[in-house]
Amino acid sequence: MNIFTLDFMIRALVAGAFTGIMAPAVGTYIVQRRLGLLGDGLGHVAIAGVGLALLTGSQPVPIAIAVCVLGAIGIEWLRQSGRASGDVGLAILFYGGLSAGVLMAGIAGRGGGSLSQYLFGSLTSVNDGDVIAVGIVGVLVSAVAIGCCPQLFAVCADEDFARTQGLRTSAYNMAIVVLAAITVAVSMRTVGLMLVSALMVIPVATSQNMVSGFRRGLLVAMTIGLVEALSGIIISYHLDSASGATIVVLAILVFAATLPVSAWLQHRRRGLVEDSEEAGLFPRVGDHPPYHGHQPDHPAILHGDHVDYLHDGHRHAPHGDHFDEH
Amino acid sequence: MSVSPVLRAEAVGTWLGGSQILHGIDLAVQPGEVVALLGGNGSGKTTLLRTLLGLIPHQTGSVALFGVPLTHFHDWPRIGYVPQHARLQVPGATAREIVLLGRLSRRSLFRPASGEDRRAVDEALERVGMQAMGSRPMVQLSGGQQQRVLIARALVGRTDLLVLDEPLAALDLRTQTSLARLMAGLHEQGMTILTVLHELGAMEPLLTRGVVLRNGHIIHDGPLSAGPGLDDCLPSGEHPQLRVVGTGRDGLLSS
Repeated sequence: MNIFTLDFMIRALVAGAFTGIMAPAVGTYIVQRRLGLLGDGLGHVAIAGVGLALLTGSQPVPIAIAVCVLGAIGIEWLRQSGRASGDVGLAILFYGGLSAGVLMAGIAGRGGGSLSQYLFGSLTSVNDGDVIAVGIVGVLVSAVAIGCCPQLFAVCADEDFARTQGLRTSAYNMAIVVLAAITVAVSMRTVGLMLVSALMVIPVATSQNMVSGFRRGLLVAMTIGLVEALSGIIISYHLDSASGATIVVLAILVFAATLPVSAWLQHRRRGLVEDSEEAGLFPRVGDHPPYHGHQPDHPAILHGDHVDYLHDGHRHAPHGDHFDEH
Repeated sequence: MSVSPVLRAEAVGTWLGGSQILHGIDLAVQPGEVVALLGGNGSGKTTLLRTLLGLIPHQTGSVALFGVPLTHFHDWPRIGYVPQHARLQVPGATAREIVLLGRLSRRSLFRPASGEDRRAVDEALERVGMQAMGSRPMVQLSGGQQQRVLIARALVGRTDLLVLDEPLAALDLRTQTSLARLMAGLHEQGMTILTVLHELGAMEPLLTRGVVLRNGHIIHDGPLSAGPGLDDCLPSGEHPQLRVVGTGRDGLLSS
């Protein structure tokens, strides 16, 4: 039987494709800002939205988006005003959202079972409305992530410098967490609130193993996310497994498979750098501070009357107050 | 003075976390000067640099860039800021992408880089001798090469004032010398330079003026070879927080 003739599989594949594209798009900036676990915290906040929807009998997705965005604005405001460290702020967001959601679902007379389809996704039960919501958000998030790449990259990479370019960095920082919040909340019907964070981080890490350049990394991560989401859904159909979990396990396997590629690329690039320096294009420059003692991670080699220390593929030796390159 | 200063601070006071870091700072930098902000750890030199760029708000006094009060200043392409290279967080980004960030002040949202942007990046990389390294990821470059890329990024606008935060920190002597030579070339082309320095090092021959801070006060502002008076205002052993900067004082005294 051809799975592409099944309506529910078509809906699952379309919704999964949009999730697979937009999660790594916003995830690239989240990873760059070293907030890899932010998506997870926002997923917990979205649970509060689901609980609120169950309690009031309204649609879960819009309520979850609204609550998640408010939570994201709150956490970013706390961080920018220096009132809470990123760590503590995230923890409060995490547990406050989770407990509030479970509490409200319980009061509504619905137990953990009704929450679980949002926690781990339920791709085969997505309806047309879900597909449209994921599609609109997916296009919006991807367009901003690609179109505002220079500005968002500047804010993530070097906030002080971005400000000397006249950028309103607090607004851009806020935009990043709001995009993440919308992505997480809208993905709860596809890969689930607990697992979407994995799609925001793992394809990005995989992409960074394979290519260099921020913009190229962004585009490759989105492509990897798309392929992994579609493959995961098809595999889960044949294995009769949970689609969200299958996608994430597949993403981790692909990441592991690219680790040797990363090691090989680094080895090759390092060789190139050494060559061009030796060709006399530049004075040889080292990145060691002028006055350091023996560093245990630099292997020592006896060389005639002195000791060389291995450092980035070449040797150097202490000489008075500086180091000679050997 | 007939020419208006590139940068002027008057009676600037800055508080951070409830304590006053800078006290009544008066400073003017004229076009073509190479001015070093010197002082020990905790003297306030980096805070002053960040205050002058508006990265930290100041509570008293006023700052003007090119004669325009900081709050109304929008001519950012004239300012080239070079933060400490060790603080950069850019795994994967290439040197070219980093330099392109220096064109942001003239780019609008949803507009890809123009041919003019790309030519400016090529020129800036060439000015710092990094034209062959544009496609390299930053993490693969040495500390000195990263510093050159950051200087290229600061030059990619139509920069009149270069502002550097400890450009020679954590670099070996040979690299320091080649960077100082690079900045000497920029100065000859008319660049005004304001730099925080922990020690004078290879920059010393280049400096037209030194501004020494201690505990948030300017205690010396003038030529570095000012003679006996200078010794008295340099960081001394009885200030425990300044004792670690022996190299800076030695460098000054040997001048």
